[in-house]
Amino acid sequence: MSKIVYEIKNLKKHYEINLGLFKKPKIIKAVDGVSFDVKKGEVLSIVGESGCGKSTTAKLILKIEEPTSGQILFEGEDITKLQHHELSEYRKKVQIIFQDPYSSLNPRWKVGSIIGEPLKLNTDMSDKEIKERVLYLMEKVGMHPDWFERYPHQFSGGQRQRIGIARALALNPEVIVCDEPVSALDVSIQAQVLNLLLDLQEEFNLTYIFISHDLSVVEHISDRIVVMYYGDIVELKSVEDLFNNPEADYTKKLLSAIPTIKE
Amino acid sequence: MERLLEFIKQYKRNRAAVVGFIVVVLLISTAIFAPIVAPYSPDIQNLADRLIPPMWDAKGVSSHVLGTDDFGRDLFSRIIFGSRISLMVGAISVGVSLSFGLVMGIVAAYFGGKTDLFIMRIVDIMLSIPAILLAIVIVSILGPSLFSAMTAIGIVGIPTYARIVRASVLAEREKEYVIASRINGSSNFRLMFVVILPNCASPIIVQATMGFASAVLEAAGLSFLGLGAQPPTPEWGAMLSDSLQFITTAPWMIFYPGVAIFLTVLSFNLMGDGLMDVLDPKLKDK
Amino acid sequence: MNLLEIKNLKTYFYSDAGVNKAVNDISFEIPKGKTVCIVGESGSGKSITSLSIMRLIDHPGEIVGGEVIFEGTDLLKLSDKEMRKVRGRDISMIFQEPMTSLNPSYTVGYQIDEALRLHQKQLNKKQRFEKVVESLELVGIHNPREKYREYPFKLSGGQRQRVMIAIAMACEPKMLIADEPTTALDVTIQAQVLDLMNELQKKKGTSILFITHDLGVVYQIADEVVVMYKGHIVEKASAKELFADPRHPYTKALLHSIPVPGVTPRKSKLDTVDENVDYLSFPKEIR
Repeated sequence: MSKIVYEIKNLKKHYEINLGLFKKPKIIKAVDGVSFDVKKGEVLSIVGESGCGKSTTAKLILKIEEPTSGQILFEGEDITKLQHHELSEYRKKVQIIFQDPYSSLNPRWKVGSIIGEPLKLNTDMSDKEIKERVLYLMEKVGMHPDWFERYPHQFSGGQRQRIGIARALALNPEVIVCDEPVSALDVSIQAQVLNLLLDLQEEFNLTYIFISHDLSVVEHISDRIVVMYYGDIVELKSVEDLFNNPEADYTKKLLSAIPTIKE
Repeated sequence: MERLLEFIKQYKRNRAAVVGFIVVVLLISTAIFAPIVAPYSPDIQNLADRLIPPMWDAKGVSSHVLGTDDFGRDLFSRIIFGSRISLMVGAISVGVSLSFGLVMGIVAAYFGGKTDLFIMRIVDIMLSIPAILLAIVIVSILGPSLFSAMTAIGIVGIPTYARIVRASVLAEREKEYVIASRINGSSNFRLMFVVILPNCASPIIVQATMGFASAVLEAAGLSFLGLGAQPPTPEWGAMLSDSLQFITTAPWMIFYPGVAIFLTVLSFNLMGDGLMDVLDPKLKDK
Repeated sequence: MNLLEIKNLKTYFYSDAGVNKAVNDISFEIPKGKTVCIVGESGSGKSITSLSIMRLIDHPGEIVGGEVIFEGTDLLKLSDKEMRKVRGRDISMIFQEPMTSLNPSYTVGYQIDEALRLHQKQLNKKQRFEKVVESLELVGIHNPREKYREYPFKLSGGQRQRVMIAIAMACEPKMLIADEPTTALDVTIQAQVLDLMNELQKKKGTSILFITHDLGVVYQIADEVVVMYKGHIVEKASAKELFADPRHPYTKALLHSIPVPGVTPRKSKLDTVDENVDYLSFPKEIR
């Protein structure tokens, strides 16, 4: 029986848009009552098209935003109520890889500083120890140690994504939320990064929450898939079940729309 | 290092900017080495040698290259020493405007909401008062002196920096690398000054360079009005104002300090232009 | 019967760092009424190729050689004035970002009308209006008469792309160049837009040059495929041939790096394009 890492219960995030002094504010239900579990060691993907709420869900899990209502239980504890010290502990366990390799790395910092930042802020490792760990991480993601002193603009999209991955691994997390990590990459680089993610998962026993709109990629690496549509979960199944027996109309529509090559 | 070389290479493309830079360097060197460069002390009066025209004029003498003023002081030396004052004015005024403006801009943009509204309303109020008027008010409170002039110019310049910094920070604030640092537990202070600010440096540097030039001009203006440097300080604007009565009889007393102001302002502006071309699109990633 | 023939096209970009041979001696044809896909990754030169055909290359880039023969005329030899007549009327183009390709300050109808005003001067205002409504219908926009007066910001990404297609098709061009038109769209909208383009081709006989990096899309719509890598064409074949029997190592690497649901074993290592391999050293596969 797999350990449950996350229990998301009836999670809601509503945004209010102020329409002016005399009108009632419009409410956008980005996430509208979403519930699911995440098991340890699995790759759970959340798929959907723009506006479905998958990115918002990720932000809520990472505490970039606070939910309107609902619970997010991480290893049994409700993280919506965490304070300072506990928050720091939570951050060490759950990290993120961003979508845009061009805006997710601080352009004015060296690669070594970017990867080392989580360590600097959350541990009392000495500079020397941090440097050692950063070099170790760089090796793990296939980066040359010389790159430590370089700046992000000197690298390609795929290489920058590697930097982002190394950063996510820095604190030795249990869970990594991957927010469309390969969507902005060329097809061949995409494959490299996916391979890397799978390798790292095995080596470090990671759990991935993988957000994507690309069903082919999702089919390849996931164990289970959550399909979202306008703030609701439409379907939640194992990969095989979803692709072989899709139930919801939207899921069927999504699957038939994938331009695939039938060799 | 590589970045610096790349920067220099691109900067060199703008010939005018390079000239500007050279002149600025000359200016700074002159100011630093003033006692060595200037043949006389700026204060030595020699009433026997009053109102001598520049060297090349029929009545000029070789010992006073640009002639003397109505107190017999060597004009060239006064102009040289004047450069010290102008540079100091520029540096301090910009320093004041920049420090306050930057903090206001960052805090407004970072925290948003009511903080933003509050700070920007203060900025709006400052902007709605004509600069000269504000400067005059400040000077009349503090008494006319170079110090008051610098303070006034500094204060008047704050809104510009506040706006520039605010715009820049607003643009960067939503970017993913900022979110990344926030997730990693960065404090607000660190996010503002260590994470975001370095990425807003370009427009600030450009404004500071141009601002230097306008500070020099404004100081000259205030001194000209009698509100800044007081005699016998060899500040270029003051020199202009003191010499007005001699405009027909000893025009060199007005012309050369004027040229000094012109060259200084022009060279800083050219340099700022050059910096703007290089810094703005290029060093911004991709 | 070929509508467009590109022969030995070369487009170079000059900078302090040297010469970038973005398009380095490529030749291919676009038959009448057919869809040709150029597929490649970033840096392959595919977009530059389409811009070169339309002569939209600006300093520091320059078309340094070759011929672009459209219905017997070499477009590269035309004057600017003559080329402007070709653009929009004979050959039109749609781009990737519908958000920025439409002018946010003008209504949708106005923008389609503009195309007609430029190239179909014989029509009067009423006739043009009807034509605009017709083209909006053609691209599947409901309530075309009302949508005429809408501004782009009110439309979704998919609708905007349809409007772009409407603008492009307004003058019934002989060829449409589409540079990654569906890359920024959701997958279900992408499917609709691709269907639309196929339909238009059947109805109007327009040739389509479709630039993409997505081999799945190529499979859906291409008749002929041109694979580009670092400024060269490494393989050229009919779509059927290419997918049944890919020959060039780069094409194969590209195909294998895409996971195909149901075919590629899940969680397996994907083959990737090897950075250390010089794919240009292999013989080009032109069929």
